[in-house]
Amino acid sequence: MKLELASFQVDDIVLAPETRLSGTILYINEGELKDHLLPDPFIEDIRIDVARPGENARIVNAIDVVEPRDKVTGPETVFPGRLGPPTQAGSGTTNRLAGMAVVGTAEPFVGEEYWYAREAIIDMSGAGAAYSPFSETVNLVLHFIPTAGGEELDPARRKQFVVDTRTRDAENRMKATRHLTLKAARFLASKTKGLTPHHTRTYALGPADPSLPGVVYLCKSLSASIYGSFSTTRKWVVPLHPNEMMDGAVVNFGFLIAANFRDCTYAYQRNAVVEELYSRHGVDLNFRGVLFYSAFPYTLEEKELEAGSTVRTAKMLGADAAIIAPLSDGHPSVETMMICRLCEEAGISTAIGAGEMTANEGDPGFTHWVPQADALVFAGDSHTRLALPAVERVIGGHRVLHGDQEAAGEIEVEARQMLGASNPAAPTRLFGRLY
Amino acid sequence: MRLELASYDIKDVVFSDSDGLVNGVLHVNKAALLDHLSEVSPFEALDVEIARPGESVRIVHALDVVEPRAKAPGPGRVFPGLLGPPLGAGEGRSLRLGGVAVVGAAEPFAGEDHWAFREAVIEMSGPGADLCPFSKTVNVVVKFVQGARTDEREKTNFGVDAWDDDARRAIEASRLLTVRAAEYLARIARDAQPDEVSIYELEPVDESLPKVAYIHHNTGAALYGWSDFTYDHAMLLHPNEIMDGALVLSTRFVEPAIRDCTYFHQNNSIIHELYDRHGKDLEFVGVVFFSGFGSTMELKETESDSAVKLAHMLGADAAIVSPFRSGHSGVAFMMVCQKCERSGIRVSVGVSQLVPGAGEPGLNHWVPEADALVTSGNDRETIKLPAVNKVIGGTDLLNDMGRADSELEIEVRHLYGLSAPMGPTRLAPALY
Repeated sequence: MKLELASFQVDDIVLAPETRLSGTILYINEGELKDHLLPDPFIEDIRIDVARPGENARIVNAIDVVEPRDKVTGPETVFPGRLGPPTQAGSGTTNRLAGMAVVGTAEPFVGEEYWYAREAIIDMSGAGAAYSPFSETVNLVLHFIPTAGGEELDPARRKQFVVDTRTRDAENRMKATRHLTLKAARFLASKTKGLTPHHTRTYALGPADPSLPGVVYLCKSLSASIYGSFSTTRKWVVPLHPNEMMDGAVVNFGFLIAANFRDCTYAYQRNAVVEELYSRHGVDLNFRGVLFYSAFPYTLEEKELEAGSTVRTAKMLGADAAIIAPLSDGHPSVETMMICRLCEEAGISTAIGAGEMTANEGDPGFTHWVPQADALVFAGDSHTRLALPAVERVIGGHRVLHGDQEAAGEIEVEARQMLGASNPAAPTRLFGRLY
Repeated sequence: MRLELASYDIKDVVFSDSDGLVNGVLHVNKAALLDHLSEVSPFEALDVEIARPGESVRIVHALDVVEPRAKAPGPGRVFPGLLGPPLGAGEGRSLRLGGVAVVGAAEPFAGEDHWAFREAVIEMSGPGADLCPFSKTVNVVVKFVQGARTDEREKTNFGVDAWDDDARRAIEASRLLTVRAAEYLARIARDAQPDEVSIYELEPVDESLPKVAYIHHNTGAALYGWSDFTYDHAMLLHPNEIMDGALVLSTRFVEPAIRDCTYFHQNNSIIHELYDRHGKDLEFVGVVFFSGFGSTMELKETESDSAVKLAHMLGADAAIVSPFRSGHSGVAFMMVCQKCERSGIRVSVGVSQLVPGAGEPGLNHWVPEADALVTSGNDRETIKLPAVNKVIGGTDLLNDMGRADSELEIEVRHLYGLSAPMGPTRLAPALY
């Protein structure tokens, strides 16, 4: 499987009468983009804004973040299974707009019972900028205005503790938001046709010296679909070629998890672990593949199934070592630790990329831990309290859901409200330090 | 992954006052076995009978067939996921009783709307015995008997394996009890010296040998106890897992002639052949386990893509794709063959034929790339079977095919294991 990833640098986005890429400036005709995305049965209108690094701007209510991509040769479409048939991703040529991102935002829909994880903030400057990798990209923000109406949630189901409870109407609007964000990303990248990329990188797992240690990446999905299929009940690990993951086979889907860990589509397209393993393939290791798991097993038996299948599959692929990321909290943290233990017992060395959850000083920051987990890399704490300054411009709504604060004002949030703050598989900017 | 498989050649099984293995004869305390099964049985009654090769005996309504296996003393159980946690298959030491099979049998359960494939016959002698691999094993038949049926439901014959919850629970219980009996029998041999110990391990071999993957098409297996496969991505398995009880017959009963009973998974002839040749003229790189149950072309594309991709990730130069089954999964199966060939993996295919009439191709889908087919027999021939002295499992064949002890003329597809491409089948086609 060989993927040519052709990069077209975007240094700025300018709203203009014509949509085209000229040099490193992407000109976008708002009407043309809207015409491409609308009408949609669930979305009435889209507000289009640009947020640039360093601007005094705040994006709130973000759902997904996507890097613009389009297939030039090879399979029919990027995001197979979502924007077209689920043909295999990861081969042929894909054009990407580097340095920018499409951010989809929407305020809570009628019939949506959100929890803390719904809020996702990107500050383009100030103290908050350090807490999101998307403060460094030029962002095209699509703010989705849903069609009116929709079924309200039955008050009996409005329970504070239920994760992401939505009526069908609210679910449809959420799906439409994600779908149109992907579609916009493809549309923008399609404007590169016939242009010369700034650089092209080839991704192929060519033969490597068999004496180098075999390494697999165990990617615990938190809310992603593979080729359009979203399964929380799958009990088995799904082996993927890394090219499939970076070329749009995996996108954000399902329910929303905390913004700091959220595996937005961008985090799969530009997965930091995959990039690192690719760059070292044939140098000091042999990158054997990605084992992707999307399940949320709730019973011990299901967790054992998932952990067991992971270890055996890793062995089949010739793994001597495994990178496990991300480790989050709750149920997945238990499976992750089981996988770590079973890997180590089977002779596979592990390193875990984790986000910390230290609610208080002295808190260990884990929900579960095994002694075999002796190589952890931290991507930052979820509960660090942040006081962020007032901003001149807010995109994506007027209120910050956390504490129902005025979004333009000075706000107090935790790091977990900042999009991508500590996802260890994404290009994050935080790290832990021991004193 | 290293598996030591200790084999005991069993000449006969007899009921006795106490359990033991004496001069190759397995003595079984029937009451103790029944007690062991009754601990977890929801059935009104259980019974165990023995059927030996050459006897004038016919077994009917057969469900699963299992070779007796147990893990050597220590942690872990055989048939993980059913008898214990879903871990440990394919590693450590296992015991097997060669020449013995446990056969589960029952009349259709209350709430089971069975169809033609439910009737599975094992002939212990006569012309039917020449065709059936289980006419050569000493069979310990476990019969599951439900209480009087109070709610006779209409049988439509049109639903494939349509059951209500009661019937599903009964089928799952029958499956569990069959493997439990198999484990019980094998444990009897634990203190005896095995006749043979084989080591199964995919050790590194000469890099220049062609790499061969076995793309195992799931036509009705449960993996670690789970059989709720619908559509999914292919996965990788180590052959040891399969031969050591990770795969058992699911709760779907396909045609008896090609039914993937647990015994065939335990003794998969393709895995044995590839292991035999590992390091000689090929390198066996592993098993791609693929389900083709997706009902749309798009899902079939994904299923077949994922299987072929995994074969490439294993570095395969060639692949054995088997078994074929008709219906939706037959299409996905052929797509796998085509995509392998087009991407540089040579395939050889194990199929069974379904030829309702002369001139029929016998396959519901075919691609030109599938140019190396090994067929293991035609299911639609009919056969005359003589009357027998004794029947185990019931009194009448299902679907009004006749009294079970009488002379019969039936399609060979009802003979258990007749043409399963991964089983030790006894048919070979001839082209005229």
